Amino acid sequence: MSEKVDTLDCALEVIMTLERRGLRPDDASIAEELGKPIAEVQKMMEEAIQRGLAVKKDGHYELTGEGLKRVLRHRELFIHDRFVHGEDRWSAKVRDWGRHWRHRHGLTKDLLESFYKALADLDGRVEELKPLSDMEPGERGVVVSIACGLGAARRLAEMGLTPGVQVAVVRKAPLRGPVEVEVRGTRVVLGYGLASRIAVKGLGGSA
Amino acid sequence: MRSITVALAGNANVGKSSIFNRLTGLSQHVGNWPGKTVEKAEGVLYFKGYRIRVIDLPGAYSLSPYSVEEIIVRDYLLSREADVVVDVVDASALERNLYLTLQLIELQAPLVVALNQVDMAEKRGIAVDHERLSETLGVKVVPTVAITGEGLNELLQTIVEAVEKGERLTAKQLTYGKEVEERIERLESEVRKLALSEKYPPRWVSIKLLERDHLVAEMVSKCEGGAEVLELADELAMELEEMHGEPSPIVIASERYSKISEIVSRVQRVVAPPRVRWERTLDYVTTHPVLGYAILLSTIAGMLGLVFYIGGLLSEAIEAYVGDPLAEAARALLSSSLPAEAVRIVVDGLVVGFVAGLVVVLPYVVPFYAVLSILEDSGYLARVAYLTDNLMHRIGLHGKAVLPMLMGFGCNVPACVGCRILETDRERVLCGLATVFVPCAARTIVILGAVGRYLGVLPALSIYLVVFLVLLMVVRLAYKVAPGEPMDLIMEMPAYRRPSLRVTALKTWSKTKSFVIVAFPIIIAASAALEALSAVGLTEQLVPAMAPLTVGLLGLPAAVAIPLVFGFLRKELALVMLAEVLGTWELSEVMTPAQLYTFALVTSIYIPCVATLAALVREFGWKRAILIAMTTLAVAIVAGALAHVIAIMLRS
Repeated sequence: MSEKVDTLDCALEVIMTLERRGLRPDDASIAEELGKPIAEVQKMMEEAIQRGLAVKKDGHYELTGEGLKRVLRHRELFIHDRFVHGEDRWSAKVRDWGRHWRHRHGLTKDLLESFYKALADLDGRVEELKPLSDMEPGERGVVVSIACGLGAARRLAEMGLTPGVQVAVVRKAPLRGPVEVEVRGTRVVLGYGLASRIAVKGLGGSA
Repeated sequence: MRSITVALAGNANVGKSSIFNRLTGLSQHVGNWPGKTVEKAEGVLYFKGYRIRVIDLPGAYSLSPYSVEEIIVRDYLLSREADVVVDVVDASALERNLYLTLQLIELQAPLVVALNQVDMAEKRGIAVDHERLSETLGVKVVPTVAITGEGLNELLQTIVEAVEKGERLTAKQLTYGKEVEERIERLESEVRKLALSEKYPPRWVSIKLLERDHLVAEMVSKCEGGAEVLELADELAMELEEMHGEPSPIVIASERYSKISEIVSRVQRVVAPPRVRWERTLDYVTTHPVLGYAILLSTIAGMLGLVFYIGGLLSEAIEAYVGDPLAEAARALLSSSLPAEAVRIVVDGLVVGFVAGLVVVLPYVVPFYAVLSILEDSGYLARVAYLTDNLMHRIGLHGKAVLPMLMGFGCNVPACVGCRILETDRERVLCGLATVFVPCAARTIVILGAVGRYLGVLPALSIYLVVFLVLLMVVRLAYKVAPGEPMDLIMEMPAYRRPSLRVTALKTWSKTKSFVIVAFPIIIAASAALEALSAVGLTEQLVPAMAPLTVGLLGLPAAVAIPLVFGFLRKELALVMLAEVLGTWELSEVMTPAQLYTFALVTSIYIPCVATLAALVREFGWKRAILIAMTTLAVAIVAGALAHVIAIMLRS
């Protein structure tokens, strides 16, 4: 994937996020969100309209059906590469994503559906999410999605790690060791593999 | 006398065992739940003219049907055997603990809440208003401090009063959020029509069905009209899933937690900044990426050093004052009336077998479990699990496996039993395989006696190193071969606390007891059997029969066949028998250094001793126990042969 396409995806993300917040995304607000000059955003959006991913109405942008699909795919790839496979990029080789999640990562049909729903309902840009294992000690965040098998998800829920709960990282063991988090007034230690499948939206925090 | 049955339920690390031990003291009896390899502890106490039977249910965070412990708790509660269920709740972690409480309420258990560790909560600046909690939940709440026994009298008083007045202790049902509540009610009205609603609370059945609990679903499907109810439940669960974008078990769990947040905000206040400075410092250094590992290594080394020092002293004393006189007395008593062979079987077999258990194992095992119990109760072992998770992960296990493996240094028998703390069957077997490689007290005696004494400390330590490398390689291989996915660590990190002497003593006693019950009879019986065999001259025939292995492959004197066979009985016996067959304790005069090294190495690895084998059979069944034993045998032969080859190469 080229740098340009990546930023285009990000711009589309921003449009979707702003729409969700009930705002009307225009060049200025997109540029602000992305931290890029307006001229660059204008150029990018022209391309997006040309490719049928967005339309311009009364000065603000709306995603087309194609654009929406593209954002969801972008989110899916982002989560996959960032949370499930760490640094190595697998996405390019995958044809059927539903099959890949089910067979390679053991997601059940139910889990997969809820995963897609969480992607569509995401509050904010997908780039704001990071794996719990990437948070620094002292950092706080809100659990957005848990992309592991139902068994582990259930046990996490029983320990209080449910979607929407606030967590704070207490410490991390070296060399991809386990992560200790504080959740609902207790401390829980999670293996690295598991922690890297938990998507968290950072809230900053004091060390 | 009237009697009351009380069951203790609660999360792990909430002081449930402390309450149990305080209540029942030495009257407790530890067995297994019928058909399960989960410990069942019960005891009796007398209070105000009542005989109170107390049952300590396994620690559980939830009542879902996915772990043996949770199923046991659930089935026990559903059997309605207990007159009162005491839910032990950790006041310093109220939110997480109430998760189980809510499920006990759903189950309509006759409930009394013991709000435990209020002192710890106070230290952290948390105040829990127990009266308001009682009002909100609609159950009686008694504040307690299990470590000191504070509040336990009031707890018993509350139980007895309630039973006397014939009060119904079942709480009023809490209502959940509208979306979930509506569906529970809709389902409940259908469940009520089923026959099983007479036996099980319909509301509970409905919630479980929405949670897609397969065991409850199975029960319902057997009822007349059950199929329609299941269909409705599935439909309603799907609606919930669509609304929330989460699988329904997660939706229901979140729902419980949001109810709990509401309750906690009403009953809990942060009143002061936490006063936990020493605790925090200790927590920091023991989990530090550098210091933590240094402390870990020195703790284990210190623990083993201490245990072997104390054990050595005790062992000599018991041998001199109990063992020898007992054997002499038995010999004197029997030799007049029985033939010499029979005396030998009885004295050298039964009596010496018994004495050996007393002399060799107990002096090491008891102090070992005392120290381990202190480490566990203080909260340190959870830090060890945190530090070692990474390494354990490489052999398909996780940090929790470190406890049974540490136990293995004392004796492999309780270590095999200790594998139960792991979640899945696959992990338990892998951990069992790992623990039998851990050099126990008896094997340490061989390593020190054959190598440490003649070749020095470094070669002795190198045997440990080789054994651990072998352990890592074998278990990693087994992990690659065994079907199934490895589990990740999910573990509560308890706060540090001062261990109580009483709990340590009782825990050590109960662990030692299980060792005595499993291992002792087997050691004694096998020792008599082996004596009988050698009395008829069978063991001598082993020497030429095993020569190709012992002499050919391992380069040892042919006579070691006998010590190796006796080693199966108890590992340290291999050393004793070696001196006996060679006719001297100056082993270095009759064996080369390489032979001593190979002997100790092989003895450390090959087949777990007979008591451990019995424990393996009990925990994992015949097939897997034998597979594990054969694996160790094969590995021992390969390792010994390699040592022999290396020795030859070094010489030339």
